[in-house]
Amino acid sequence: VSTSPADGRTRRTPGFATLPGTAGAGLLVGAFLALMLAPLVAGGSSDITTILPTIGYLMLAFVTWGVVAGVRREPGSWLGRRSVRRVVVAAIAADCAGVVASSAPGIQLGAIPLLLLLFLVLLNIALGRATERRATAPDVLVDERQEALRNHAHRLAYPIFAGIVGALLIADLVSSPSREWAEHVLGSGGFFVFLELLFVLPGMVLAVIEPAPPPPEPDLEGRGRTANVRLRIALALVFAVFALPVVASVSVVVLPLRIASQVTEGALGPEVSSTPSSPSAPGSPAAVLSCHDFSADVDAGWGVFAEVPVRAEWCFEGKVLNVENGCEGDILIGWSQSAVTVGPEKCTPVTAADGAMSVTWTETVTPELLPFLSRHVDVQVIIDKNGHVEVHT
Amino acid sequence: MRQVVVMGVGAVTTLLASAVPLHGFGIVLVVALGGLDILLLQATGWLAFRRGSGLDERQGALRDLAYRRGFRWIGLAMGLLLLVLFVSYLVVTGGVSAVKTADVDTGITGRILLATIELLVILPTCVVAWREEDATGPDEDEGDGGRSRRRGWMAWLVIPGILAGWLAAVVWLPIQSAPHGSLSVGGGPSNATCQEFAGGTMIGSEFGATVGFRTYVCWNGTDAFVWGNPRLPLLPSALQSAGPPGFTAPESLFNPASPLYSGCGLDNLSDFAAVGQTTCAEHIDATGTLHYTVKARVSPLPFGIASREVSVELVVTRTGKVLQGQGFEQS
Repeated sequence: VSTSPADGRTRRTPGFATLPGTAGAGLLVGAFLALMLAPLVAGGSSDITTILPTIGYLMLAFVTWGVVAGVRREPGSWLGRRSVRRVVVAAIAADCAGVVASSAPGIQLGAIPLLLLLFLVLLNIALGRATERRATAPDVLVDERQEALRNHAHRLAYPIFAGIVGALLIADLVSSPSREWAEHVLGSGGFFVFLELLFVLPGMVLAVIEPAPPPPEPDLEGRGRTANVRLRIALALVFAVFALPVVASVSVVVLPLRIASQVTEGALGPEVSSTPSSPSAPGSPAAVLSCHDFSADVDAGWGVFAEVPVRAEWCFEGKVLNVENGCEGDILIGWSQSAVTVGPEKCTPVTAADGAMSVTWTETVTPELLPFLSRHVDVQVIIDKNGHVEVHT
Repeated sequence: MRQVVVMGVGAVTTLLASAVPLHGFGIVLVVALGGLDILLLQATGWLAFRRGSGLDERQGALRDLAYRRGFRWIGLAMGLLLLVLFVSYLVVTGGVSAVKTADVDTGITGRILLATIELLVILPTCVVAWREEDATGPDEDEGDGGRSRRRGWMAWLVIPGILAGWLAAVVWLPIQSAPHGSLSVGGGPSNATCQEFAGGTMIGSEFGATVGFRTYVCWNGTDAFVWGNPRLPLLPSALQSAGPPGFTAPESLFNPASPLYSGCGLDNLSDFAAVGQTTCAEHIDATGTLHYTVKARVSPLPFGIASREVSVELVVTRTGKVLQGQGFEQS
């Protein structure tokens, strides 16, 4: 055992009890990332460039979690004050209420629920630091007084949790509309609030009932105010975790559009035409049908992005170009998205006198995190009478 | 002994949360759970629910510890119950109708709801009971044995209270509608437009029974009719328009038995009350409007005591407009 210099109470030595858990979590994350990356690397897929930012972000979040978990609250820090703790708890409660309210059926608030959940993560980090995560700490890391206090916090939290879950269950009983509400909320943001209550509610109660910390001793006060390098790194990482999605969302609007993949072109035919629309006269030999395809990817943004895979097929019957309908027929354009909304789309096909086809797709791309920003994207595919294809953005 | 009762509570709760058909006898499990709970509460001296002023320091510490352990067990126990529900559902249905039985949306079923309530109420007491060496006996209030004994037998009054509340709910609670849970498309005659309708009526809220229906209704501009249930024969006009001109096809060709589309009685839920005498009938009036009616008898007790007749009707015009039926009118 050792004695805490701040309050003189007995504290059991933590030893290395937490190391296996940290190492295990690291191994688990490493194995998860390896499992995700291995098939992509082995297959030489171009998707790896798409998924790399996400993997990098997940790794950053994991490292941040590890660094933040390793930072202990300095005696006398403002986050440990009782009033600050209670403000954090009130903010968490308000955030949870907001998530539930924004999850009700028929409410479309865009990225606001996501922002509320991100803010909830930030508040949880603050609460964890304010209470030094004593509510869930292993037994060896808390002294007898703290053990008694957190047990008491759990006893107070239990009926609160039961009451909230009970209210949800009553909503399932009362009427069909309330049942629909309960199901919808549980199936969306309410589920995260349920997890929040399950894992954090005792910590919230503990933050409220824990007495104010004793004033720091003079020598500790100085140390508490000293900038802690690890704390600064942790704060920087937390800032990066929350700022990166915003920066990436801005990139959708700011970065120039680019054709990401290599343009390929090749012959699929020759095949024998047998379609009713063939210009061949009845009884005459079937014309040789020579078909070609073209593909390209147009990307907007990085990390948070919209990808436009452009696919075009056209055929020559002899020397006649056959692209029936650019918007619904042989030219297919679709969007794959990541944290962006796309629409409404507009397709304008133009056929020239010499048979060349031009199709222009106009879309509006809006990052979900920043719904007040948007960008018009025009993708024009031109197939000339000789079958040459150009893509303009 | 207390640990045996705790395991009994776990077993009955697991059975309640599973997908094993109860055929109207769910209330027996609830009563059994109530009895086990009372045994546990008396064995632990109601420690988890006693006020702090009546406890000594050791009892207060044990109670608070029980709540902390109980809180940790809630999430795990709920996850395990959902796993039991999923696995037992696959076992019971053979994995065949896993999607189709979700057609009628009855919300969180009464079984899951009661299992959740049971967990929330009894977990701290289970923790106290499991720590047998620490548990307090039933006669903690020395010199107040009379009050303790009175509380002992009064607790058992909860059982008839549960029975009375359940019976009152099934007999007197207003009927609630259970809307469709999912809609699927596809199938049906080629010359008609078809849509699946699913819904039902709940008696006794989640603690009674649900009379559900699923039916695949087609309309061709002349008539609306049920497809997929040969016991409800197609009109000659529907058969004639389904085939080439001048050719009337055999009904088995155009109206094969498709219970997953138009099964009768497949969507009844009879966990806490038996559902019997289910009949599905259609009537197509002179204007081609379909009146599809499902009738059933819901009996909470044997021999038809306190039973209720329930009827659900769906009315669809020959143009596919829904005039009546479980909220489909708005679609």
